[in-house]
Formats: sequence, C-alpha cells, structure tokens
Amino acid sequence: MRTLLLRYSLKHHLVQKFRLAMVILSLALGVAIFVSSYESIAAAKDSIQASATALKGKVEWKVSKGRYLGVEESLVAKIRAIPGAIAAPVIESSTAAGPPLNRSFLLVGVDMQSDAMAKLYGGDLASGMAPAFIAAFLGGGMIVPFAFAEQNGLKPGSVIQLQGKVERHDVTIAGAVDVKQLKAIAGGSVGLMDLHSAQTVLGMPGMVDRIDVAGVSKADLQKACPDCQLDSPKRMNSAGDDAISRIRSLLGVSVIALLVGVLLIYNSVQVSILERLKDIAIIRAIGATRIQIFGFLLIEWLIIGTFGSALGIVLGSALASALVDYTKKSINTMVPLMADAHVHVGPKLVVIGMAIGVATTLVAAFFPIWTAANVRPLAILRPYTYRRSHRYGLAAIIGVVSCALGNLIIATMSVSWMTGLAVIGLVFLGVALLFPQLILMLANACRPWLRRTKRPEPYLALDGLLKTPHRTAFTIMTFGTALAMMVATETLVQGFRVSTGQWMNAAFPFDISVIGNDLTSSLYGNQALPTSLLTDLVKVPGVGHVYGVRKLMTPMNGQDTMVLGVDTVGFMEARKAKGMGAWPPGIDDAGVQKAFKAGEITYVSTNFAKLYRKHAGETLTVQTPTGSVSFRIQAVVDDYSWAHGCFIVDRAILRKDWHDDSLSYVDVGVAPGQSVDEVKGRISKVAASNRAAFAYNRKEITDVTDSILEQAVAMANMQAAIAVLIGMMGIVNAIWIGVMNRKKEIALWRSIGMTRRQIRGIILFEGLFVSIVAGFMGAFGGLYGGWIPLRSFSFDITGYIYPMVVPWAQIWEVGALALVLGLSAGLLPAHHAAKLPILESIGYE
Amino acid sequence: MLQLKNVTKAYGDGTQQVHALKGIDVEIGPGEFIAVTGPSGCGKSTLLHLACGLDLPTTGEVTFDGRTTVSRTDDELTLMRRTQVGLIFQSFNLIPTLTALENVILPTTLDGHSFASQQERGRHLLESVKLGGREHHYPDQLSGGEAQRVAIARALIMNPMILLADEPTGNLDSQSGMAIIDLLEEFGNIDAGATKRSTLIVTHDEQVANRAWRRIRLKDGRVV
Repeated sequence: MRTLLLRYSLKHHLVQKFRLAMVILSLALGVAIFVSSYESIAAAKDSIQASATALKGKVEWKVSKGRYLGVEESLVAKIRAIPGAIAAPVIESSTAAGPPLNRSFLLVGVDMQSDAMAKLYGGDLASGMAPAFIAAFLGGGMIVPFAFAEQNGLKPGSVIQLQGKVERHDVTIAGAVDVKQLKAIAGGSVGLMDLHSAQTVLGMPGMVDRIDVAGVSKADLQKACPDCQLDSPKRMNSAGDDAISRIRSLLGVSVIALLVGVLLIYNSVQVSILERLKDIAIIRAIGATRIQIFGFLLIEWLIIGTFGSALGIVLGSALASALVDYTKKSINTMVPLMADAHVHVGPKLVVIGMAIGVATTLVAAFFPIWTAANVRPLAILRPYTYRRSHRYGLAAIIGVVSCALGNLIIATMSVSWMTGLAVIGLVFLGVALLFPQLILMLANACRPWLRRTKRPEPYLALDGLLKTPHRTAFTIMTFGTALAMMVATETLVQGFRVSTGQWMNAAFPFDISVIGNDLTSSLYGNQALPTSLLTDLVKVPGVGHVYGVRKLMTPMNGQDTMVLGVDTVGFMEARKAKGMGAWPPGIDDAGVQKAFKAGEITYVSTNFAKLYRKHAGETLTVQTPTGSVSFRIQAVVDDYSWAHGCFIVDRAILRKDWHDDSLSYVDVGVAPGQSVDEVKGRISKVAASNRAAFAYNRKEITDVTDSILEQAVAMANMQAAIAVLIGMMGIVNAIWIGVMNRKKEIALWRSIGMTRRQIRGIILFEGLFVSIVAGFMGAFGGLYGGWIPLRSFSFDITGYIYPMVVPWAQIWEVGALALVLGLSAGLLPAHHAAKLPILESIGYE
Repeated sequence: MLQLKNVTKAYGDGTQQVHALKGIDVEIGPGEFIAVTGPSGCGKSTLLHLACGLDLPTTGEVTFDGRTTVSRTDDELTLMRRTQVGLIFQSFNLIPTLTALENVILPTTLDGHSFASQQERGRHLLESVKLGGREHHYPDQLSGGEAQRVAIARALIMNPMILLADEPTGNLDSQSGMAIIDLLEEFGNIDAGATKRSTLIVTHDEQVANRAWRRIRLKDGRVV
C-alpha cells in the first residue's frame, strides 16, 4: 500500500510541475543563501587564519612594551643572551604605496642575516637566493611574493613609493620569491624588507614592533625584560577578529532568508494537501491509518526537500565564490588581510546544506501533514466543505506571548548577536501565529467598506484570500519579511550614515583635509605626515585656518584603542571662523581648555565609554611608551573615529607621552570668498611636493566612507534581494494555487456573467492586497528588524553606538517594489484564470 | 427569442469525435415553459450550454434575441448571460464564501451596481423564494432545496428574458423538487422588460417534465 500511496503522491506532484518547480527552487535559494554565507565566512576565516599562522611560525612569545608601543631593538641582544633563546626582531606595518601600486599592503621588516629568522619561520626564504638578490635586499630593496609581483606588474628593479612616517620613500624591488609562508601572510599582499631599511622607511630607528621569541620559558623572558608584555602568538590578530565578526552577521541574514523559505514551503505543503483532502479522506475511508497517511506524505516531502537541498548546495557554491570576492574587497579596504580565499565544497558543507534544507522542509511540512493525517473523512466528503469560521484565537494568543517575550528580552537584557537572532526568530514565530487572526480581523473590517464600491472585484478578491487565512497570512509574511530585510539593512546603514554625518558636521570645521594615505586605495593607514606640513599649508593662498590631528593606536584592556591628538588652539580658531559652537562640549571654557592642554582631562567617545565602562568624571589610565598616564574624563562625546573607541587629548600630550610629533591629517579651512576647489588644487601641489600627502574635500571623504558602507552591506542586500525573489515566488505560488482550487468557482462567475477582464481584476486585486499588507509589514517589520540590532547587538558587530533613523526613501521604494512585484505575481495566474474553459471547469471537483 | 437552426455539436477529433447534437431545430418563443427531456447522453445539457452561449455550435446557428451566438464576442456572450439569461445548475453552484444575499446580488455587482443599492431587491427576491430571514446564511448552512432557491433568486435578479435550468431538481427530494418547479413556474413566464420571460428546463424527471407546457424530447442528439 505504501508504494501505491507514494506513486499516487509523486504523480500528483508531477501533474503540478510549475508548483513543484517553485517549491524546489525556493528551497534551493534559501539553502543557497545559507550555504554561500557559511562557506564565504569559512573561506575568509581560513584565509585570515592562514595569514596569522604564517606570521606566527614557530614563535612562542611576542615581546613588546604593549601593542602599538613597540620595543627597543637593543632588547634583542638581552633575550638572545638567555640560554637556548631564539629571538628575531620584527616590524610589521600596514603601509600605503603610491604609484604604480596605489594600494595598501603589509610591510614586514626582518633581520635576514640572523639565523633566528630561519629557525622561527623555516629555512627556505634565504636559501637558494642569488647573492645579488640578497645584496639588493640588504641594500634597502624589497622582496615580494611572485603572485603579488605579477598582479602589480613589478619586476626586479621596479621602484615603488612607500609612505613613511615622515615622508615618502622610493623603494626598489629586489626580487620576487615563491615562498609558502610569505604567500600566506596577508593573503600575499606583503613586502619583506631588511629590518633597518624598514626602520628608516617607517621612521622608527632603534625600535621594532616586537621581538619574536622561542626556546625560552616565560619566567626567564619576563626576568630579562621585566617591563615587557609577553603575548601568545596563537590568537588571530584583532583586525582579523573584527573582520570575521562583521561578516559573521551575514549568517544571521541568511537564517532569516531561510525562515522566509520555511513559510513558502509550509504554504506549498498545505496547499498540496488541501488539494488532495478529498482523496486523503477517501483513502482514510477505505482503511488507511493515520500513520500510513502521515508516513507517505512525510516521505513525499523528504524527497522534495532532498532535491531542493542538493540544488541549493550547487547554487550556494556558485554564490559563495561571488560572496568571497565581496568579502575580500570589503575586508581589504580596511586592512589587507585576505587574498586567495577559495570556496571549498567539502563533505562537511554538503552534509550541513542537506541537513539544513531537509530539516527546513520537514519542519515546514510537519504541521500540515499532521493535520492531513488527522482529517475526519466524513467531514471532508460532505458537500460545501468550506469553513467560514476559522479559529486562530489560541494561535494568536501564543503569538502575542512570543512577541511580548521577545520584546521583553530585548528591552531588559543585553544580548549577543546570536541571542538577538534567536529573539528575532521568536518574534517571527509569534507574528506567524498571530498573523492569520490579524488578517481575518483586517479583512472583516475592510469587507463592508469594499462592498460599498460599485466593483465586485475587490471584495471577491478579499473573499478568495480569506478562504485560507493562514495561507494568505504566510504568503504576506514570506514577502513582507523579505521586504523587511531590505528596510532593516537600510535602517542600520542610515543610522550610521546620519550619525557619522552629524558628527562630521558638528566636530570638524574643515573644508579640505590633507591625509597621509590615498583614500582610493585604503581607508585606514598609519602613515604619518611631518609637522612642517602645517607651516607649508598656512602659506598657501586662500587658506584661512589650519590645524593638525594625530591618530595613534594604544593598548587598552587587550583591545586596540585610539588616541586622538588635536591642535587645540588651531581647532578652536577654525571652529570660531566657521561660526561653530564648542566641541567637545565645554572646551570653550578657559579653565577646561587649560586642563585639556595640560593633559589633565580627556574626552572619550561613546563607544569607548561603553566598551571600557567609563563615565564622565572618572579617571582613565593608559599605557604610553613613557609609562602610564592618567586623565580625568571631562565628557563622553559622539565620535566615530575608531570601532574600539577613542579618547581625545591635546597633540602636545602625544609629543610628551607618546614621543610622537607627527600628524595623521591636517584640516584646512578656506578663507572667506575663496573657492574650495581652487585652494584644494594649490594644496595638492604643496602637499605632494616633498611628501606623500593627499588632499580631499568633505564630499570626497563622505563619498569614500559611503562607498565602503555600501560595499559592506552589498552582501546583505544581495541576500535580501534573493529573499524578495523567494517571497515573490511565494505570492505567485499562493495565487496560482488559489486559482487552481477555485476553478469551479471562477467558471461559475464566468457562467453568470463575469467577463474575463473582471476575473483578471479579481486575481490582480488578490496580488495587490497581498502586496499592500506585505509592504506595510516590510516597512514596520524592517524598522523593528533594524531596532533590535541597534538596541542590543549592533555595538558588538560594528563597534559603534548609533541612533535609529527611519529610512523614508527606502520605505517608499519598498512600498513601490511590493506593489509592482505583487501585481506582477498576479499576472500569470490572472491570465490563466481568465482563460479557464467554463464548461470543463464547472465540472471540476 | 431563442432559435437553434440545424445545430450540430461535436467533441474531439477524427475517430475520437463524438456528436452530441446532430442537426437540431428548436424555437422558443416569449412566455414559454419548456422541458427538454431524454436519456443520459442524449445532448440535453449540450443544448442548454449552446443556448446560453457557454458553448458554440460546430455547425448551424443559435440565435438569441435576433443575434447568433457565433457573431458575438466573448464579452458580448458574457454580457448576454449576465443580463438576458438566468442560469440554474443541478448542483446549485453557489459561491461558498458569500452569504445567500450576496450570492443573489452578485450578478448586479458584476454589472456595476453597488451592494448597498441592490440589498433591498435581493432581500425581496429571497422573500419571494421563501427564504426571508436567511439572507446572512452561508451555502453550507442551507438545505439543498434552500440552496437551489437562492440559485433561482440569483438567476432572477437581472430580470432575464429566459431562465435556463439544468436538472434543477436532480439533487433534491421530490417534495423540494416540486417546490422548485412551482417557483420556476411562478417566475418563469412573467414580464421581463418588453417581452415575457421563457423558461427551459433540462430534466430526466417525468414528474417535472409533465409540469412543462411544451416538451422537447431528445434521443441520440436529435429531436424526436
């Protein structure tokens, strides 16, 4: 009997080819989104990890005075004096290269002549190199991996310009090597220089970033350099951690897309069962048990789930390649960490993909199948099986409780992004349970109003949708959730964009900013500019005000925080000239300004305050190259300079305590009546004459940050677009099914005088109703979906706190998209319904 | 009013072709109350479908109100069914999602009238078919006889020139069936605009056929 039932069920699906294709494709797309996100994250992680492992070598300890504080090179000899110790000084700095590279890469300075290098990182680097090659390297040349050289058209003897701490240096390419470790570092975007040459280029004579050590105990090492910090090299560097945590959020988006798929499958299962309810009742009547019915329907959907999942894995692998490219671009714009990331579809991924797809199908199918197995044959075999009164009260109550619980968790607790996603899932489930009742209430409220119109199409369409409130509700949810994903993403982006825009307008009185790195190649760089630039720029015709800012990284509770040194006087004058008020707050007070300049007080950013639990009035103690210094926190201010927070001091404090008298950028205010573009042209010439400096106006800087932001959310948008596609397929599916189930009714309408146009109208109105409600759901659900991360876990992912901004433009766009897609989804079913043969369909059961 | 001239209707192609009607000539004048009888498969329902324009003849002409059905477009045929023909089916064919009153008013709303403006007329018709007070009942809350009376009220709402009923008592017990025939007789030959309404009932029930004023007997697709 089981074989017979399976044959019967498979035949049924083969007759409904279109719907079967839609279900398999939608499941496949859902699985594809998940698989691609999972795989691209894994590929990125592997690539970054490979870089970290290659950098680690056999190193047991990394010795420094603290990250970013470096350590004296003289300490190497002290460590080497410990019996058995192997010590290698290393400089490792992300550096911007000018023409012809125009990109950032990792500059590593090593002591090639020391055998410690070979012992720690393997012996194949120097061995086999021609003496001329080594001579060129020791003479200040740079070694790069073959692939990097090929990619950038570099040959031995090619000259590239490297931005040093003070000025730009011409560096000759000594040669290219094909060394495994070197290729893995920063994904191969790396250049190797002799330690002393690197010190010269980066302007840090006698200093190295760290000393890599092996063969010595921690105690002995600590004894040799008591004021040093000893770090284990096992950990992935913090930039890698940040990059991974940011792209990991993609997995969350993919889970939501999969939920959209669940609803679509639920609808399809339910309809395929409803269609056969009479058959099922007959089979039950002639003796099939509930278990038999349950079994054959479950196997039927298991087969469909398996097909869909397999297709999803294939699609997902293709999508993953595109995602990896995006991820690479997105991460490397910040810090060059990734290259040569490969998508590898292994058995693990296949198993995960299949498990996710099949589980999704079975979860979605379980309830309709259970219901079908429990039908009372007599109730179904009676004429007029249409149920007018649907009871969703209990489901609605459970839904309200789920939503309330989810909101309570978000409102009262600080949750991780994983918990946040679980809460979104809980609320989603709540809405799914509540929605049929809501739809019924909404429809009942609308029906009398629609009946007053002279056209029957709207209320007949509403009746058509209300025949199966849960199907209508889930169709709306499928589409609405997908639209909500778009609104939610934009809510987050807008919040960030508006708050950073407000911060830029409130904090910076500049028209032109002169920066040490080329923004077109990399947003971040630790390139420094000489203070002489300030005096040079003041002399440029048309320049009104000039002030310098230095950004330095400094360790803080194991994180990398940023200290911002500002020329207070110049900054205040520039603000005054622009008619801007005091920023940071209270700085216009003479006493506060005096204390700020003296290094007694500091201002901390809001993300700094949250991360390190600091408040105004408390004392902040930080480690500097000259020892620890303390500041009283004057106020907490909005500042988006760095994801791990920043604190602001007068630049004189950086000179004194950090021994750093360079600049990261110089802000220029144009004199009244002067053209910004003309002044910028003059500044560019002066800035680039003897140093590597680039001038940008406000708009150019905003455009760069905007494009990086767009790039960062492009992947999420792509997933949302696929989810919208699944949602639209859900509408086509639901309306199509509605038409198929009402063939007789439609034929009856036609027989009593309804024109084809009116039939088309009814079906299109169905699409319109779904899209209108889905549009509203997309807008409100999206705002809610944006609020939850902002309220609870966006700080963990982005490192910033920013307010919620309603993305009105996106909401209107989503509304228009909903209408267009909803109506488009109705076109095919409407055409089909209008063409139904009346006589044949009227006899259709 | 309605003329079928040498009408044939064939289904299928070639050797599979089945001739449901084989050269029928029928004329129905105003105010007639006619029964079409015959054994199963003799072409009764086909004749009715051709008469209301739900189907077109293979050869011959079906003329309704002075125009042949083949000369009318699909929309014109639809309009004809909506305004000039009242259709009644064996299985009632009410819309299950609409109340009795809404089912009755449906053809008028298709014609552009608002529900509110037709409510009174719909109620009146329901009272006429002895269903006063059942306006807000749904089809599954009505008995077979009641459902068929709703279908008659729906067929009457546009004041059609002709009522075409396909086995209207086929799903009813004899008492309910006779009550339906009473109603058809009552409303079947009253004034419908400028002319008197005619009624054509397809039936294989002798008791029903005996109530007709004229009988058309079909056998193997021909009038006998």
